[in-house]
Amino acid sequence: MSGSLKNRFGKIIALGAAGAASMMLATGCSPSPKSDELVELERMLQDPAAQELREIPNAARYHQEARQLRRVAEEAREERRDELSREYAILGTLRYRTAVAVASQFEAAERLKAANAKIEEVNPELRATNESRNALARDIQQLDSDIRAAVREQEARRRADASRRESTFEAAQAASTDTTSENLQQVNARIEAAEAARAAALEYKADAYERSRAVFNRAESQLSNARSLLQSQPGAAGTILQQVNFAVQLFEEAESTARPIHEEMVEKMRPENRISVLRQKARDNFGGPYTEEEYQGIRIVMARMFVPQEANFRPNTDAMLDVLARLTNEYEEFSIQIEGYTQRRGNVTENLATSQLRAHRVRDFLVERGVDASRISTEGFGQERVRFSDDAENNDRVEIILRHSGN
Amino acid sequence: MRAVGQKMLWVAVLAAVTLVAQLGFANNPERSRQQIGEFRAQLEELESSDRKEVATRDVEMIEGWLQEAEVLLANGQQEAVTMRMRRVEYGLDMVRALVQAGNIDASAESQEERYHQARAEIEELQSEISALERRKAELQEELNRVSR
Repeated sequence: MSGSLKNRFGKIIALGAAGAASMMLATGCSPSPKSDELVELERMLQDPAAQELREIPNAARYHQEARQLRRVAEEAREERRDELSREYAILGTLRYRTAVAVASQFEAAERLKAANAKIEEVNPELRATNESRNALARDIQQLDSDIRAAVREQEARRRADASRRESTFEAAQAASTDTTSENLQQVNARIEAAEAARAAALEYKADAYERSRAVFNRAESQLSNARSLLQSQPGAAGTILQQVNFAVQLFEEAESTARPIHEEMVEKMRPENRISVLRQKARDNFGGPYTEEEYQGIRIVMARMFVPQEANFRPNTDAMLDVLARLTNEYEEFSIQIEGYTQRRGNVTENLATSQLRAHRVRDFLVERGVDASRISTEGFGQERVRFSDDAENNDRVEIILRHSGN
Repeated sequence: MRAVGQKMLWVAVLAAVTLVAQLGFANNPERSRQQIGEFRAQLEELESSDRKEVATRDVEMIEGWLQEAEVLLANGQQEAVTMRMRRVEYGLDMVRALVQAGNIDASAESQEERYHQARAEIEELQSEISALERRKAELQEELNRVSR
């Protein structure tokens, strides 16, 4: 393309030079005033900024062409070929503006290079800080667990003491058959104790977990019977006390069954544990080399996903995408950032557009599989940030960052 | 006499160069029509770019030249058509360079943003680390208390 342009440009210059020279020989009239276009081109070329273009790779060529076109335009004007002169001035202006745009590219590329270098510099620091934070989080988790174990031990001791006291109380009750107001007070006190045990069991959702639900329901039934009996036969204090005590025992049993289940459930739902489990699942499903820990989440590299230079998935990529959809649905508190990339082949601008389309394709796939679109953001990086140097087609990829939303 | 001969020779060379150059330009109408189609496709491609806003007016200007070229072609003004096509070709080069500059600039901005984001994340992590260290000390104290 550039060779062809060079040839054509050469022809223009030749045409201009030839036309101007032949007209110079043929005519001897005074030249017309300069066209607006030629005046504008000269103004641009005299600008001090124009001199800097000579120093910038690639821009220098367009600047040189602009200067040559100005010269040819001037020669045509001297030969009173005003229309031709104006045409060359327009072409010269276009070339000058192309030089300026190329210079902007150069400046932006320098900025990009500097920014990439800064990122390279900051990434190890980010990783190290992240690791320190994770280590601390693990220490705290361990301490939490140690404290819970110590508390459980304390609780077991307390219960053993209470049970001993209870046996003594029950023995005393069985020996007595009188229905004095003192006995009624004792019954009411035990019912309150049963209510407290019930509340404690509900705190650990004993009524919700399968393993504790039946015991909890039996306790409810015992307590209800005791209440009915108290109303219908207030004199049967001994029997009522037995029922209430049994209800207390059952509530405590339901609580002790539900408590570890509930604590484990709460533990599992803690953000740091969810993040840790998601990271492990991502590594198991996509392979260690294709995952990277990110702050509060994980980056999944899905290499070789697309037909080169297209946004269409390669055949047999559905399984991978299904795994991604399953993970994103299971971990719904994580945001999803999809980054599209291409290999370094073809036009840079087209690659940028293709990478964006690739990110959109993955987003659409996830949305079709039930992922909430508001969790997803997309971005295309084109052929920047090549990850795989051994096999270029691996770079026809997307990278997915799942990050805990912190809620 | 010799000077006149040299001048004649120079004119002949220039005329030959002009002829060759003209042959380069002298596209037939069919070729021009085909070229207009190709340029229009390239222009549409640039119009669909994400960074088209950096060259909106230039794209409109090129579109105008293409339309002029079509009218001139219909009127059989082949030489004027060739000139318009040259403008379009140079104009497309310019717009491509502008769009590309916009792309690289956007990439640079995005990378700078990522850098600042990473710095902010580090600061956030450091403050989280301080909070976690305090929490760890509290828990250690609590463990000592409940283990007694």
